[in-house]
Amino acid sequence: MSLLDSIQSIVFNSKSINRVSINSAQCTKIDCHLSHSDGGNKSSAIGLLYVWYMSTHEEELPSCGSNDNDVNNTVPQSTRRSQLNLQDNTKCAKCVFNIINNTTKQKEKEKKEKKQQQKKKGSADDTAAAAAVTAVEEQPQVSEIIESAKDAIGKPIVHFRSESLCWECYKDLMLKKFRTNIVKARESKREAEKLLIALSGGTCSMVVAELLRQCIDGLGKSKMFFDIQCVHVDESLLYPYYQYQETLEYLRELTASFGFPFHVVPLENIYGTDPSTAESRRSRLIDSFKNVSSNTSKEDMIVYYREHLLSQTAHTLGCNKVVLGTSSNRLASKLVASTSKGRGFTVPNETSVVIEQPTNNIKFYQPLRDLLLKEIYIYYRHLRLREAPVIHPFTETKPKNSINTLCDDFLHCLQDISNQTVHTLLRSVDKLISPSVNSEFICSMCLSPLTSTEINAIESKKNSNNSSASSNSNECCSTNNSKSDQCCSTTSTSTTNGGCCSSDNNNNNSNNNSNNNLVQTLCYSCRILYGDIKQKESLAPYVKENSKTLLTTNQLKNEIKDFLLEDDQDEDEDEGETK
Amino acid sequence: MDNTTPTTTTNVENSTPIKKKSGGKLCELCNVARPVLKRPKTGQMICKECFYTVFEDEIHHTIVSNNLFKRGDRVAIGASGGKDSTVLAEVMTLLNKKYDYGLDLFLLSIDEGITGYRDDSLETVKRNQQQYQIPLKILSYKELYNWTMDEIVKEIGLKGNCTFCGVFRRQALDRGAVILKANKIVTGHNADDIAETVLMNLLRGDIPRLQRCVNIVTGSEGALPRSKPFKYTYQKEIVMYAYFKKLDYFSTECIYAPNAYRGHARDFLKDLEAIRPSVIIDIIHSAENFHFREENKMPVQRNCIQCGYICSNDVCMACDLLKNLNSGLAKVKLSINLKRKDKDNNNNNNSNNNNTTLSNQLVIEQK
Amino acid sequence: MKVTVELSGGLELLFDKKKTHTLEFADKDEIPLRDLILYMRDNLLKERAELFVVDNTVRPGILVLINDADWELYDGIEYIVKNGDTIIFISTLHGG
Repeated sequence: MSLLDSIQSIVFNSKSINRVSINSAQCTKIDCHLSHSDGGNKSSAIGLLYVWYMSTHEEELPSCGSNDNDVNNTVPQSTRRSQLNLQDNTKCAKCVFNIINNTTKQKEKEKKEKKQQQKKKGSADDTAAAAAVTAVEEQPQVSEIIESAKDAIGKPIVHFRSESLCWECYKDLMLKKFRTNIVKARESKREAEKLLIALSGGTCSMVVAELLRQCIDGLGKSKMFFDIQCVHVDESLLYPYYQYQETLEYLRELTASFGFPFHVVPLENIYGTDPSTAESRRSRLIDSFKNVSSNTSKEDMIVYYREHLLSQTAHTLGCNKVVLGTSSNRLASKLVASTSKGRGFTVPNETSVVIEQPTNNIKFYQPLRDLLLKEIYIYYRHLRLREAPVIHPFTETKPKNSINTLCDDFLHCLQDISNQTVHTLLRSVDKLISPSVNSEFICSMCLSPLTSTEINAIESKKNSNNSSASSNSNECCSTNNSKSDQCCSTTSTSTTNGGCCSSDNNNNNSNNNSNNNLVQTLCYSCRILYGDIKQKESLAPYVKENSKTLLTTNQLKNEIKDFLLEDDQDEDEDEGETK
Repeated sequence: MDNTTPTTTTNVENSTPIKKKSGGKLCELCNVARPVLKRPKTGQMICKECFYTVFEDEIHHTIVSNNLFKRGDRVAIGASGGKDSTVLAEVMTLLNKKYDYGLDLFLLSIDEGITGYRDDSLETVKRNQQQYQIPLKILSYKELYNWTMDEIVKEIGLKGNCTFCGVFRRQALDRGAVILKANKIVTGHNADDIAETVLMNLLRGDIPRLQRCVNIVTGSEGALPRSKPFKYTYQKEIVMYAYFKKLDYFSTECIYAPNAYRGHARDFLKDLEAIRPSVIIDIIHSAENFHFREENKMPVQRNCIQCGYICSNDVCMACDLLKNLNSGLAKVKLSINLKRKDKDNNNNNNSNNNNTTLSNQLVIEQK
Repeated sequence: MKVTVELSGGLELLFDKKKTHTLEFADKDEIPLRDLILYMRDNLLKERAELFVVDNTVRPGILVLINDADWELYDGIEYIVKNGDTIIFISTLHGG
């Protein structure tokens, strides 16, 4: 790589680059210097120079300053990007690069051959003279090369991370990026993995299906072995939109053409799958969402229900991975939204390429994490697939309806001002550690790990129950408790609230009922959501089951704690600390 | 002060829990007095007296549970004359008496030298001093740095002036506290400020600051510990408190503070709050639960070779800025910082695959 | 001059549910994209203009392609639309 070498040598040898006071005049100087050797590529050379400069001078960036006013330095001008006059990019950068690269390689090859020929001749004087000649010839004018290979350079269609790319190059790049993420997520086993693609009918999930198809067809590089099925969670009951049947039909046709089995799971199946009760489930679902007082909570509940159904379906179909089509824009927006909802603890996991799920051993993948919506949409358009019918018409939702839509809108605006916003946000979240998911302490609603404070609260409450009941015999206590727990989970309707649980239990908060126990097993954010549900019994049964499981296993542990051997106790405590 | 009147209820998506019919028009806490306001934090309709009590008790709780002070501490209250610091002075004096903290309180004001803004607000602080009978120290940029903000703005213009002001004020507070022989500083940063800063730092990818900004006490290593007793207090409630107690405060924005980016974050937070009032606390909760990777350790702290102030370089930021100001280089220096930061942003993606990048993005630089 | 305008991703709902519109400007050879967008807002748009135009340009989150290529490659809003061009507006808002 002659270009890189030449820059590096300049950078490292040049005394003219003062650490503190590099300025544009000096840049121009270096720029001139470079332009002698490398015509058309000078700007990228300067780019590299800057990358190098930034990486070595990072510590000089201002680091103090008050919280209030320190931001003025970095204030991007509030001009919308669309209003900026961007430079003319008329050639595909990658094509140009390849051509230059190939020509240079060819020249080098020729040079080598010449040298060898000369060596054979053996005359020292001739060699020196020839070398001088080749040195002059060595750097052909880049513009000439480009001119000569004009036809091989594609018309750019996308501005992908500061590079203009033509469709052919872009297609390859997308597949390459996608494969990298998919490979990252693969388990070491060589056998075919079973994937479940969650198709919403939107552009992003369609692109995932198409890219996965390319992977198993062996486009790009080697063939990948996946056993792929598709699922669509039907939420039309809550979001009736006029083209819904068309969407389903479209998805059916598309997956059939790919050769992927296609399943539809209605959202009301959150209440069970018995076909005889389908109708009552539908009304139950509609009613339950009428009882949620905020749009944010409604949307979040749908997401949790959907995720639950997806993971359940994956489990039934024997798939161990659910592939989602979440773009980087959506993930950045999710980061902001989740932070605003108090989900700071779990947000690193939610926004990573692989979402670890503690239950069922099923993982969620987001292989489009590195791609912007814009990039995905342009790709989709050029695939020339038949356009999908509109789902969730965007005219229906106003930004200020919910935290989620507001965050989406806010990020679209910021991204329009500075196209680095999304990447910066995702880099921020990369610096955060995902909580360990190998814990039985998970939120009953969203299934994300609980914080140590929340775990401690559950444990201490149970401990205090035990100690307060210790005057009674241990047996009595445990039977009472298990009885009450059963009661809570099975018949937790408002009419039986406060019934047997509170009276039987030697509980400190005796006025609290099963609902209170349930709240305990929710994460900070889901407690807010729970507060927005007016009729708690309309909640999906899985939430109650999870809550019950968590409380009973934890309780059992506490009850038998005294009978366990030292080792086990130690282990128990260690576990608690790492969580 | 529209939002201080009890009749204004914020447009809330999560409407408050169904009002207890039994309470009727009585305060939800004491059930005796007529309620005059709806708490932004909880949505409860409560009376004035109950509001004072909950408001002060919450701050007391924050102070006690975080061990902010020890008996005998000399605490400098950063007083700007604005609503936050005025309420802070009021609440600190009150709690110090009520719960017998045993603190020596001082008011510490920094005079940036901004005509038509700081000179007026300092009058407020002087009146506060009379009212609370606690010593006041005013320290000016002029005496510390020999520059007023007015002069600095004249020299460098409006762009980047807040950097100077921020850096200078941070040090000025510390120096003032040392003069007062104080061992702790409290500032009036409230929950809204902190939530806003969290969002800002996320958006800018500023991990070190993101880590620091939710700490209730900062700068404990070397510098004087600075705490924020209002960390969990809503700005709205502070305004209400000041309004009902008829506190004397100054409410004008700094004339030199047109901060576009923070403005975006602020508007966004206001919109979020309108949807769900608890977001402010929720964001703080989130930030408290962020766990950072090891490699993001803070730079090693040392002392400035010129002024001895704690910093991460040989020369502290204030001395550096000052040096440039005095040599007339300030404008140049700052614009380079700006460019570097811009480039930093632009180049982040390229740094991964820099040998294949063929962009023209530095065209601006060549002009 | 003749210009084709395509709307998708839900945007067509604002434009009488029609995905493709052909516009003719008899008196012009070219038209700035900004003017074309404002023309569309004033003459083609059926409802809620704020979902299409913000600050005299398209709303953030709406992708614009000029002859199937990202408009960022062609000066964005400053592009001068020529005879035979196809301008494509795709909403990337909500749904995915």
